[in-house]
Amino acid sequence: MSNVHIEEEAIEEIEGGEFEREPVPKKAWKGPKAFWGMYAGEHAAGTEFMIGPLFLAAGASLQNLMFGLLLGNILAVLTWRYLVLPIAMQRRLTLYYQLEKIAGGKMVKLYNITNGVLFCFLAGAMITVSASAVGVPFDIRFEVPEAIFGLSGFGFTAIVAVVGLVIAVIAASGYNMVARFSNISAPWMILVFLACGVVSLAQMDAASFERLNIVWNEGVAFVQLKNGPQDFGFWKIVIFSWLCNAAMHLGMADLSIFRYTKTKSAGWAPAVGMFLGHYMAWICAALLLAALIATNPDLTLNSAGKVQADPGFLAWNALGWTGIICVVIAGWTTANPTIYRAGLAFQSLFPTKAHKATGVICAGLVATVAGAFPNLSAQLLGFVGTYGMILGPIGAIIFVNHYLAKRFGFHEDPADATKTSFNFAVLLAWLIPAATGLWLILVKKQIFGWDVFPSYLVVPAWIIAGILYLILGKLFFANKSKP
Amino acid sequence: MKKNIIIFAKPISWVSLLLIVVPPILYFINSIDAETMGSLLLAGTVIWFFTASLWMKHE
Repeated sequence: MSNVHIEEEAIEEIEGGEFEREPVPKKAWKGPKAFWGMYAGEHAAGTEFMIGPLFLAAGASLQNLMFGLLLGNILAVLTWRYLVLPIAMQRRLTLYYQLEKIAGGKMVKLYNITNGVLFCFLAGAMITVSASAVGVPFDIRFEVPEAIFGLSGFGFTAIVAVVGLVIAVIAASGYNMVARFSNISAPWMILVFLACGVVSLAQMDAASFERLNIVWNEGVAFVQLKNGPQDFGFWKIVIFSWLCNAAMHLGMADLSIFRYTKTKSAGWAPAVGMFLGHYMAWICAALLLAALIATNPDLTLNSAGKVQADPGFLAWNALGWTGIICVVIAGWTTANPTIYRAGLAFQSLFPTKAHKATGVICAGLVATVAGAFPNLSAQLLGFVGTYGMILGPIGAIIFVNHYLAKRFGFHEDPADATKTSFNFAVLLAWLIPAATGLWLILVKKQIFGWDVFPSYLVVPAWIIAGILYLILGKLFFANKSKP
Repeated sequence: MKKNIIIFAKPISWVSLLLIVVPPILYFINSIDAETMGSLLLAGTVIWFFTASLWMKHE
């Protein structure tokens, strides 16, 4: 069995499944209830404590946040329902096996490693979040330095190292224990987010929407005064909230989940995750920062006099020890499976004789190093867009393969049909838009005088990848037996 | 034994979640202070994790 296959099996084990190299048989199909439960827990996590306050810090108005998130989350649910679900129900394959049929085994390996590297940065942000809470009892707060790769103080960096290594060791010891703990904490965590919101309202003395709006606007004005003017308008919020999980829906990662569904109605299940995690939790977490600015603005400032979102301290300020426990658990239960998945991808780089935990430990070390740079987690709004922009185009290739390949006269599942292990058409269709997007984000930084916001590039990259694969598929894999 | 644990632990754990929801509301309407709220939240957290871990592993 190849490393790629071991990797796929292990990843599929995480996603609760078997049938990793065959369509899920009818007897294993599941009703919608299983999907509602799964999505409810998955999207209320450590990232929400970081993303919520960043909206206020980025200058979003309360009305734009409430209506923008509403529309963006509806679009995300529709994308899952009408883009991912139909392909998942017709094919019943995991993303990895579907991709292997289109792109070949070696190409899947490249996809997994790219995914693994991105997972490490995401896990790093979660280690920062957990460490921010661990530091509170020791009176160690993190500082977000100016430089992307700037360290915080020694005390915080030491906490990151300890938290990161503990998470890496636990991840290396297996997935099941953390998955069980994650399931136990999910209902409690959702209610703790709600409690954060209610307590913040009390701290702001906001018994009416008008009063809340005034306090919120004062908070935005305070941030703008200290950090300089920033803009996070309605459409930016819509696009961000629609595409922050682009790798899962536009990128088709959730084919692996929906292949089990018995009914189309399961396609609506992401709604519970979106509206608990990406609506209620984000707004409640944002209220934490608004409340701290309203009650004690000096505590939001770092040594350079700039406002920063410190999730551990914000939760402590609202809920005390329960807040700290929640931030630690939320960060840990998100970082752990993320490091585990990244480790499985990295494992394929090592000789087969290497210890099975080598990849996970490596991923844990990379994530810990990433976690030591707090500016990476402070850039989470941009990072999740970049993540979707890089992995989203793979979904466009799957879409073209499923709906258009036969119609345009080239092989469906070409790697499978032609026994190719590396499909260059897929590589080019993926790499050209993804690399161009990365260049725009990291190097050019502006288009037509506008700052490049990574989430804006997700849909263009997806469309370009689809068109390129249509052209390249026809060139590389024309099906001569059919007109 | 397993059945008894589930019978007793399950309702206790769900009721313990009220200790996460109700104290913030009481704090909001000025019925309790922040310290009392924090203690009740912590009690709810401890009871939830203890009791839920007893029955969730069987489901």
